[in-house]
Amino acid sequence: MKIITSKPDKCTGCRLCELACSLKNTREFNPTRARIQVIGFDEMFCLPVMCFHCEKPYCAEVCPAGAITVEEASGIVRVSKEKCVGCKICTLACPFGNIVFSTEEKVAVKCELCDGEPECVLFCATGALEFKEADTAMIRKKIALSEKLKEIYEGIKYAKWEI
Amino acid sequence: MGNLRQVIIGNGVASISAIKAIRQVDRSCSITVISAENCNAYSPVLLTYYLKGQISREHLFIVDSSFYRMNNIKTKFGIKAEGVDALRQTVQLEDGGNVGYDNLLIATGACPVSLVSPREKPDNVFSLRTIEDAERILECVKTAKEVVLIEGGLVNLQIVDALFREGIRFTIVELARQVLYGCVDADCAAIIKRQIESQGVSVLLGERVTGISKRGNKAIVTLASGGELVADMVIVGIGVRPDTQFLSNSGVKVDRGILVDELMRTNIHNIFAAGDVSEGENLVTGKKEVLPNWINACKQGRIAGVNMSGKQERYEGGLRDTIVTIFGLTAASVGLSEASNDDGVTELAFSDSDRKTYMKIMVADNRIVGMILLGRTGKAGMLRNLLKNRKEISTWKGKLARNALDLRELLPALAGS
Repeated sequence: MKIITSKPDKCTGCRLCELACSLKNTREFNPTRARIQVIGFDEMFCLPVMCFHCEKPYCAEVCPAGAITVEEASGIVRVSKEKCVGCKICTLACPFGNIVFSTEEKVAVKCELCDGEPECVLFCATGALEFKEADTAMIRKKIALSEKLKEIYEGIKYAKWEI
Repeated sequence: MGNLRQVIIGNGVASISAIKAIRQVDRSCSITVISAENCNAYSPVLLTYYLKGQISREHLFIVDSSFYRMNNIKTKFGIKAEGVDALRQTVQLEDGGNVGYDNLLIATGACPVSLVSPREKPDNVFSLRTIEDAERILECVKTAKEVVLIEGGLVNLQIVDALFREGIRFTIVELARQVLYGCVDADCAAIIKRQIESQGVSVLLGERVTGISKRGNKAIVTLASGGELVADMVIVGIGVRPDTQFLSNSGVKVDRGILVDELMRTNIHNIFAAGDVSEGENLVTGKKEVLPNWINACKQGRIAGVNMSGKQERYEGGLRDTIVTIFGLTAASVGLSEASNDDGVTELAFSDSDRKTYMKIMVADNRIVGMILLGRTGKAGMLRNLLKNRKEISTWKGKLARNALDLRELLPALAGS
């Protein structure tokens, strides 16, 4: 499947992706309603984060309304607005905070890759966001990046704590 | 392997999760599902949404008939299992029939604890567990003016929220000194109680019900303090107990729930149990207990299914998990809800009762052992992850206590979970 990748070394933290996402998904320029969020790590670096579209999604396993499914052809994890009752169990089950309850829409919402044409990628000016086929090499890179991030981040945190 | 007879008693989410897991490994074994209720599997979790009129009856079902057909399941619905003969490897049915098994999964769930014997029970006294219960409540509420709910637990509070309308007076009688006892702590409960009362619902705390009787077409709830409440409908929500009575002569070991090992296997090697009927290890306390929640039932069911198919997967333990919305106020609670001082637990608390937000994180040995969030619960999943994976949190403690932590900052720490 194709997934969105984010590169912290290219992200300037402009948050255009959040605006593009919220306009496309909610017809509103409101970053708090975006399905992608740019996290700033102590002004050291930024990283846009959205649903990982897990192969075996925690959210889908626990949904009591059967509202969350993995689309077979694309691998997109989707929430059915008709089936979701707003019980929020999925928000408790997702370990990464990537599915949230929308008070405006009264259902759980998450990135659904804009049905295969992610608006955030389209509007990313620096190329920090890309939409590409997930192969083993790419996954390996992603894991390496997350390890690196963890190291840097915990380094910063621990250094601060000692002061 | 093709002739293996897999039999499942119960047709809830643990059962459905087990079926999916079995069929992923083995397309050819025979699977029989026995269920006392004569319908496809549905979500009891959704019943209060049905009471509210938010969803249709159809919407309650997690699978339709095609699920059983496509997975080649023999269904024996509307027939209660009356016993298990572990020696002959058969399940006895109430209609006199027998079903032979090679592997048996018990996933019968739990049933409401009743306050009065079925014979003395006035016909306007209910508990909510099944679709039938919901239908009866919906019928009765049409003409009700006074509704009394016995105990203010998770289900009863959701029922009040669901049935609430002009012209009906609701009274909640709670034995404990707080609502949602065992789910959230006293401070959080106090905010929720105020929210309920602001709607005009009466909440009586520390009040014991001594009996329910019939007077004309009213139900009379007598209180230990001397008074009585006259009601057109009474809903009893004093808890559930694992549905294990039919196992009394089977040799399957039962404490509060059925005892299982990490593979969801009972003391009898080819009998498994999962969901609200079984006990699991509480990841926080390390003790075995019944963890009657949806997340746990899904997981245990799947793991039982995997192990019944000859593959191996271990159940790592479960958590007490609650997330509930009452009159627009959401509370999430995971792990411990109340900590005693002597087990070395410190509390990071943040409260803003005007804005109806509250957060308490219980920490032992620099690890989260319990959390209660009220109001803004959007990041509950990330905190739950830290709790479940026993992550060190010393570096974020200060920010956490001030409610100043953007939990997204924790993402690197959450990786690899």
